Amino acid sequence: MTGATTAQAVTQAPTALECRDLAKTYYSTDPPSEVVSGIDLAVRRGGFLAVMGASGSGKSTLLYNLSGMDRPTGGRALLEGRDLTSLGDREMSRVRLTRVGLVFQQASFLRTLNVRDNILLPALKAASGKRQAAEAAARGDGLMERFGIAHVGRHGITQVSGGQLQRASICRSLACEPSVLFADEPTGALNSSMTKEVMDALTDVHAGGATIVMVTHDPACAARADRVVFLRDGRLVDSREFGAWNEEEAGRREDDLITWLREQGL
Amino acid sequence: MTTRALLHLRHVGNDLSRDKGVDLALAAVLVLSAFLMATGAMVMERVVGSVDQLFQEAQPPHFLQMHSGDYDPEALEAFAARNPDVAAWLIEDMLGYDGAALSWSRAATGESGDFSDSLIDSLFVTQNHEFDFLLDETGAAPTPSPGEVYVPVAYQQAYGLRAGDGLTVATDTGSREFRIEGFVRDAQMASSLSASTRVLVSEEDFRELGRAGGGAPEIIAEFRLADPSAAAGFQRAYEADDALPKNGQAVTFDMVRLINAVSDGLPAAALVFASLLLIAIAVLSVRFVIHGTLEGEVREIGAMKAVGIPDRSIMGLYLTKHDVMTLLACVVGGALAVAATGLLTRGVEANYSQAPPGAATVLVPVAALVAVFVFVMAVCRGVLGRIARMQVVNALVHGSLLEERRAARRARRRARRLRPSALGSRRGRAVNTRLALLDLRAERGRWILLPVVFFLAAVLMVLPMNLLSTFTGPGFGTYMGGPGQRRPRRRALRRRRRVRARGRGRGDARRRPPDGRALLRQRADGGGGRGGAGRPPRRCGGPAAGRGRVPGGRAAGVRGDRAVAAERRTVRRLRGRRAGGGRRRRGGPPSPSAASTRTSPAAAPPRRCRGRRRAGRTPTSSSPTWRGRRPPARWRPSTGSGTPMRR
Ligand SMILES: Nc1ncnc2c1ncn2[C@@H]1O[C@H](COP(=O)(O)OP(=O)(O)OP(=O)(O)O)[C@@H](O)[C@H]1O
Ligand SMILES: [Mg+2]
Repeated sequence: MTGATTAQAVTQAPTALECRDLAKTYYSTDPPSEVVSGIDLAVRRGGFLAVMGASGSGKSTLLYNLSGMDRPTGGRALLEGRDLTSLGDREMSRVRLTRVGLVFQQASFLRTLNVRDNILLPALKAASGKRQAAEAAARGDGLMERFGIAHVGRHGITQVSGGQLQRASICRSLACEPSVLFADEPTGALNSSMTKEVMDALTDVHAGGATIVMVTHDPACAARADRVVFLRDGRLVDSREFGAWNEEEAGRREDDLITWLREQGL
Repeated sequence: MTTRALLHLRHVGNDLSRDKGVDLALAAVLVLSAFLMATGAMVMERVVGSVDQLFQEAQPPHFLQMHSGDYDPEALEAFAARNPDVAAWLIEDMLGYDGAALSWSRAATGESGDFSDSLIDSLFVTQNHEFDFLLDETGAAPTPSPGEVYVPVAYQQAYGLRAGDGLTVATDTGSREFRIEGFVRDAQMASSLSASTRVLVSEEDFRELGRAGGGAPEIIAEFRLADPSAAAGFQRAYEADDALPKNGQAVTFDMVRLINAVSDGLPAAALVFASLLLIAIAVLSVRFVIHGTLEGEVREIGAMKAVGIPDRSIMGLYLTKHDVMTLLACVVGGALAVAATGLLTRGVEANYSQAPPGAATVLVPVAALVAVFVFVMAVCRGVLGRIARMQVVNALVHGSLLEERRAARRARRRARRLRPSALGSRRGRAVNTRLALLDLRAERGRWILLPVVFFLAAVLMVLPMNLLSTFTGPGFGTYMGGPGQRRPRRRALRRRRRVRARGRGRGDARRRPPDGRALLRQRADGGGGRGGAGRPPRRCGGPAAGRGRVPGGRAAGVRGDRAVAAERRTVRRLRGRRAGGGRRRRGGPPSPSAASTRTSPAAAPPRRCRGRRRAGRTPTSSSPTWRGRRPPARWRPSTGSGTPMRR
């Protein structure tokens, strides 16, 4: 896909997320390494974008810079039209708390709190009053119910499965009602049945109207997205559009993707 | 309680139950530091309060000059009259005895002992009536009857004396027996650094002892000033007058206070010092523990940061535990300190006075504890500040606490270091040893804590001990400008006795009338004394002269100028009669007329006039010529030891 069609897509629907000529160079190495560069990308509201590419191609780096976890060294990243690069650390943290949801390959939770408390922690921190806190708690409980982990809410972090933990991670990020959900290989550390659990959850979230950006190696996961972009050596080299997800098409979409990935040299 | 607070509490609770051993150890160190700090502060406050209280009751002089040898009372009189600062003044006669000359016995049990192991001189005196009182435990100034003696509380404590015990004084003409009637506190010489202490006898016994010989007669010229802060200026004026007696220590009120506070505040200072070291250890440990926690939970912290939880909230999660722990430690330490202070200040309160608890009694230890709390908290916050500085991606992905630039620097350094030590370069020999060494080097931030704490603990034990021995060393008081050395004085005393023995019966030319030439001037504006109206006026040229004396004390305070002038004339007249007129010649034999009017010990012990050899001017301890040399030997009071007695 070319820059022209990307621009076209941006104009078609309200944009949740956008980046222009985004670049990230790590200066800690000698010589400095430019990990991603020249990324132009836009995700419309309610979109589900999957980012694929070889290991080390800069997928995670791109995600960090889009989500406000890190600062790009070139170009701009906009979230709901707001330029993240112009924000201070504290504002950035606030944006992540209220506007961004994050799910990682390894769910990181506090061992001193049980699953439910861990899920509620950011939502309660984001709440400004007693009423909001109660709402956040109710929302969290609702999410746990929806993703089938309500029964392990009182369990410790070490007493639940990886899939449950990852679903808890999704609950945590959704409890704050983010405008965009970022997920970096959310199924990378899971076996196939757990992967299905987690992907079902994400698809569910997407169906609910959420905007999702997901990095993945797994074509089966990427097949759930309505658009897949391919990164090579830090550059966006191709993209592929799909229609809305439905269960019956799953096999066909996956095969399609695999062929496409082969074309990309993976 | 809000959901948020509950969540926070659950976190703290689980956090505490996770690492019980570490937390307990940390809590113990914190409690100990808080305890020592509070105890030190409380003891200090008590010491200062007790000293002040005693000073209020006993009214010690604002300036005093000790002297042995002849002197010119006229000059003192003139000086006092001339100096507008003087509110009251007196000359106190004393007879000094070596510890060996004193012994005690308890008839009931047959116990007995002597004071020869004491480094403290006993100065026998009579009770003052104007100011500078020796006080019993009730705060009253007792006046012993003949045969009775009041000994210092320091002796009571050191020898376990009781009222009713016998005290024997060995004089040149046999021993004299006294009955210990009670114990007195001495504002001037209460300090454990003081090398002399005053023993109270009746006027009759004092004269009798003087006649008996064996004691070294000495005087203190004491002045109370209208404005105590003028003491330093007063001292300069005194020293500038060549006619005044100066063969001995000159001490100002502030100096006495300082010496008192230093000597008895010393254990408290040692406690505070120990607590400071302990706090250092505690803080190091807290740092270490928090660091360990942070390192163990970088990814969790990174995740919280990534999710957008504010740094302050994340810090709060870790701080609360240490906040609570330090707070509890301070409370427990403070409570323990209250108990300990009661025990520690018993001696101080016996030696000085029991100060009524005031605002400072509570505020000082509380302030000390708050300081401990704030300091530990500040350190915790400092360590947890890393949470704010660490980078989200570094923490979450690489598990690194460092911010990017530091991480880069460290990575480069490590790479450089690792290259020559690569395992492959040594043909596989002793791989384990090399791995261990590499590990030690990489983890030095962890294990270095141990030697550092050991070092601090060693300092903790060694330093206060050395500090104490420095403070209590014989040279310290001298160095401080306080009263001089003790041992030379004892030697001088013995020498003096030998001289006296030789000179006896030869009509020693240096003999000096050692009568009760004490005199008192009470200014109309002063009213320094309180012994006045009700009590008989104290030795003013003896009973004969006493009749003509005007009572001092408060009565004097209300008298008019004319009355003062009249009194002044009376005293002058009396003195003239007593001393055979005019200025007494130094070292001259007493004139017969003086001898008849004086009620002094008849066979007055002769005195060497040290002052003459020293051209009438003795350098004070504060003058640099004193240091490292033998101080003007016979003058005292001097630093002996930290404890009143040395056995
Ligand atoms: N902090 C850093 N300092 C220097 N280089 C880095 C840093 N983080 C990542 N890189 C480099 O950037 C490149 C891209 O890394 P990134 O983690 O984005 O890859 P990725 O596509 O997510 O790979 P994977 O699929 O294995 O997760 C890699 O070559 C990596 O070595
Ligand atoms: Mg990655």
